[in-house]
Amino acid sequence: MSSDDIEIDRLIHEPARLKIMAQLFVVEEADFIFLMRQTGLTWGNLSSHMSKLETADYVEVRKEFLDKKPHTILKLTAKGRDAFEEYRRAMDQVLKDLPD
Amino acid sequence: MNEEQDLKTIEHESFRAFMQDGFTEIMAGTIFLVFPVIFAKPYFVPIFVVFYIFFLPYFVEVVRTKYVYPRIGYVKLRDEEPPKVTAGVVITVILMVAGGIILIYSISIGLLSPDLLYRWVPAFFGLIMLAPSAYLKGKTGQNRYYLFGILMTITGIAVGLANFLPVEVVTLTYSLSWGVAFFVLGVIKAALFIRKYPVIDSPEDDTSEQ
Repeated sequence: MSSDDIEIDRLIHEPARLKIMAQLFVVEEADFIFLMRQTGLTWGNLSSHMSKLETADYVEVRKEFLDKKPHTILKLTAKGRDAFEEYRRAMDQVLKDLPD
Repeated sequence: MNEEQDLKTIEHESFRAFMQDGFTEIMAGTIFLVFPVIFAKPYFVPIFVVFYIFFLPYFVEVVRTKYVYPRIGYVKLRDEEPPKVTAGVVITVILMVAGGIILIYSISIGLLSPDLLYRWVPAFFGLIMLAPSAYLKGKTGQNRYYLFGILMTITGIAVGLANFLPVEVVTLTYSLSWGVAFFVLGVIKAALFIRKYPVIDSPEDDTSEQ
């Protein structure tokens, strides 16, 4: 398969969303504050990207109350994990095809 | 680009974020401070086990919910895959159990002095602590976590060789010293953590549940 045939998932490929997906990939679940600290994104930025990932069913959003305050927990869905794995394979192939 | 390495780095950073509240050190210190009591009065073991398995996780979560998550956020790390049971692992366990039985039997028939056991418990404990030391190094990527396992082994051997110490106080000295060291380290880390990370006013607090 050549680089021309490889499809890069544009939803994941965006740098901020790639950071979010990579962070959620290595943990079981996390909340907004943790993701903000680890990715360096602002609340608004994170919220916007998270909406897109939730719409694509890559991320599962769970709202609960923690110490009487609203608390949003985020987790990759099975589809999201598979999509990220596929993205990694695609990027590996693209980079492998690069000339020395 | 080495993406495996990049994902590993992110995983290490996530684990390090989880470890910086000092809570692990405070709990380790408390266990070491309590250990002499359990060693001296074995009937405390069931109470300790019940507390450790049932109450401690709940207590830890309550404290983290109040003081840690509002500062650095909440994360649940991925569960480890259970270790593969290989022939090597089985043989090691069998040898350890056999060694323990031989040791206890030798002491019971007077072949070995019980003082020998009491004097070398700290060294044995230090060797055991190499395992969590290596585990934390693997999870955080920081070599400094090897340090406590190595130091605990060295100090365990040192107190075992210290003939000027009565055998009754060898384990007590070792356990209390490390208990205090871990506890103080944990408190210092907790204080630095609270200073470094103020509570974040989450925009979620202003939204009402729909």
